[in-house]
Amino acid sequence: MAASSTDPTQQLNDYIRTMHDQGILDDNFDQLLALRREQNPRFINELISMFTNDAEAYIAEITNALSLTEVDFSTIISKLHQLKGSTSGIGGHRMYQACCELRVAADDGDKGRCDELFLRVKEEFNTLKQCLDSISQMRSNIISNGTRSRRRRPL
Amino acid sequence: MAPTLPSSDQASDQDNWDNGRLARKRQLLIEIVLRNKLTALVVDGDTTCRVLEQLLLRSYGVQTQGVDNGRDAVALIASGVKLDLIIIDMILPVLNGLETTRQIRDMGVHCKMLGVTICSRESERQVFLAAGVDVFIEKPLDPEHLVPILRELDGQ
Repeated sequence: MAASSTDPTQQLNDYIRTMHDQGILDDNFDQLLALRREQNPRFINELISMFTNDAEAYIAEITNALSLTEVDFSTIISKLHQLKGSTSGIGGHRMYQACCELRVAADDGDKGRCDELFLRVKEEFNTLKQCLDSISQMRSNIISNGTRSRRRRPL
Repeated sequence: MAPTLPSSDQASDQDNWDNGRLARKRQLLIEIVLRNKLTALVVDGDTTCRVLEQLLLRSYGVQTQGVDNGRDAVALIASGVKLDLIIIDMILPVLNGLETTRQIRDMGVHCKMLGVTICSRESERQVFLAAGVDVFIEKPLDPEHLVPILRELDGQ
């Protein structure tokens, strides 16, 4: 029987495909999905939560470093390095590209350009976060429905 | 029911996903069986990266530990832990990846070291290799780079 558009799993797959099409996610997110088969069902949701919490912390630290009278480019570069790494691991393609551009500006010590490009990093993070939160929610619903179905099965 | 990706039955030719690439990634995850018990250390200051790299290694049966800074990596190895593989990022808290790599090599540790990092310049790659890593890999670590190395370590 073909999966209908109201099938939650198909809806999730369609959503992920759309995020790929828009460049928000890339193949690295697919690698996570392939890994998740080895793990507990909530692994992806936990990883998403880990990523967004850490990314928010890195962004806060970069914000602080950029706001100093004497901009702390060294801290910006080191936090950006970690943010780029985790973003690439989660498959956040557009956000990763924005981080790469900011890195160039930070290497050049260009505060004006850093301010401008950091805005874009934050915008892309918000977009990615919304995307990942949606995926998390859809997966939670699927997992919960699956658990309820198993409980209803006769012994 | 756990979510599933479109199988080759469901995906159409008009599907925008490169299902061939996705299928190859899945295949790599289950492709090898290690004959020996390999051990590895992941040194990465970012939690997401460290967790992902450890999970990938464990999916192949590699016994894996993780530390989040260079000083703890040096201390762990100095305590006598034997490792087949070290995966290390270039920029680390406390003690950077380059200096950590040098200190590990100076201790006489000859195990395989992979420099897995975000890098934008060839000069940075060369510096990392000169510090003592055997292989340089751009993040994220993926099966296509890891599997041949695990096979080599396993003597396959």
